Amino acid sequence: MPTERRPQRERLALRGALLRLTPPLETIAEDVLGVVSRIDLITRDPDGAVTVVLVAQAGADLARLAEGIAQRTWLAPRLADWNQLAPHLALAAEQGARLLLVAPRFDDRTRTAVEALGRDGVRLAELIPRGDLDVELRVLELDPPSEPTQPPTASPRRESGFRSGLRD
Amino acid sequence: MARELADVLHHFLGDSVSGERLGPASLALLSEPDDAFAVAVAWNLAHELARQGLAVAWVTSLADEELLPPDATPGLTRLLSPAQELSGLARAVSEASAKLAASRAPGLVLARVPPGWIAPGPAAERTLAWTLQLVPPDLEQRIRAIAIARRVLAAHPSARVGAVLHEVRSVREAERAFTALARECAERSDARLTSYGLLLDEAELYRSLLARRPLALLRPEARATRAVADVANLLRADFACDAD
Repeated sequence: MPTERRPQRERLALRGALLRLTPPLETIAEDVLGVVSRIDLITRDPDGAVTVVLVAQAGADLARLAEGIAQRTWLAPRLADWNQLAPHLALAAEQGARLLLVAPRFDDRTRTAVEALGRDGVRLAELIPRGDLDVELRVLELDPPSEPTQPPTASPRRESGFRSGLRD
Repeated sequence: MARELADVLHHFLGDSVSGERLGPASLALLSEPDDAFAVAVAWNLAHELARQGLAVAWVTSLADEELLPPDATPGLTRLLSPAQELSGLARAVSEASAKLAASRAPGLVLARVPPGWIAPGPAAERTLAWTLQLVPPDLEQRIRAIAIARRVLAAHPSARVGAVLHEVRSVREAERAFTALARECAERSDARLTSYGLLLDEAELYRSLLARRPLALLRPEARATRAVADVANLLRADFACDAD
């Protein structure tokens, strides 16, 4: 494959993987200039909810998380304008924008930060290769944030060192 | 900071920068030679790790091969070793590492090591740097696991000693058992255990072996499959951290 076409193919692979999620995320814009830097993909789900999708290189996920929060904050007030420009998209502008951070793997600090933010607004998905230039996304199930009444200490799970991405 | 998929996908697609790791890592699954469950776990874990992008070579014993499908399965290299002690196994692991080193993908050598073989020496240095035990939740089995962990650390003081809980019915039960295990281990030794999650619905693992199909293909939606994938994910995360 010519070198210059590879990024397009890789972006296409990610778009396909996003469509295979439940609910599917349909890409409505890519490589969008956001605040200072560019946003990889902007998607909508069948209910019109908008998600900013950023891809992070291994080891850069924590910094990329901060960038993603900034980008979704930047995007949220612009969604009403987008609805005027493209009413057929029926974006749920009142819900603001969510963030899906995609990376080969995630630092524990990133996971903990996302747990603290709450899963409704920010999700993490691991990028898993599927043959040549095909990928799959595995959305991580993270613990919900602690109840406000609980002291701000690490959960027993963290104290004991127990690790699992599963939930009962 | 990545702006393009191209910044990331090369980690998976076989064109990663060479020299990230000096050589393939090795993982020792500590289990008795006749432990069929450990064979089923190793086989499924190896396939899952391969599915997640690692080049995996499994140094098998004759006992393993008697249980495994005779035909090769995609994504997994098996190298039969007749070793009856740790030094022989260490040679086989080195041979497997050399074969994997030729691969462009990150590589992991998997071997089952009977606890009775654990002894200090160069072979322990080669094979026990990263170990994994399958630990049931009851007290007797936890104490046995701690004893094995202590033997590992006596033979290889800087070893990473991992534990996967099994024979549990829920994540909560596994967490409780690991908490107890870690506490008891700290009381009895300086060993610090590394958690690698849990296994669920273990009959599915046996069934996959009988069906000669890894769980990810046989029952992709099963709890057992998700649990194996989670264990593999934790292993892969530590593998990647070691490589960085």
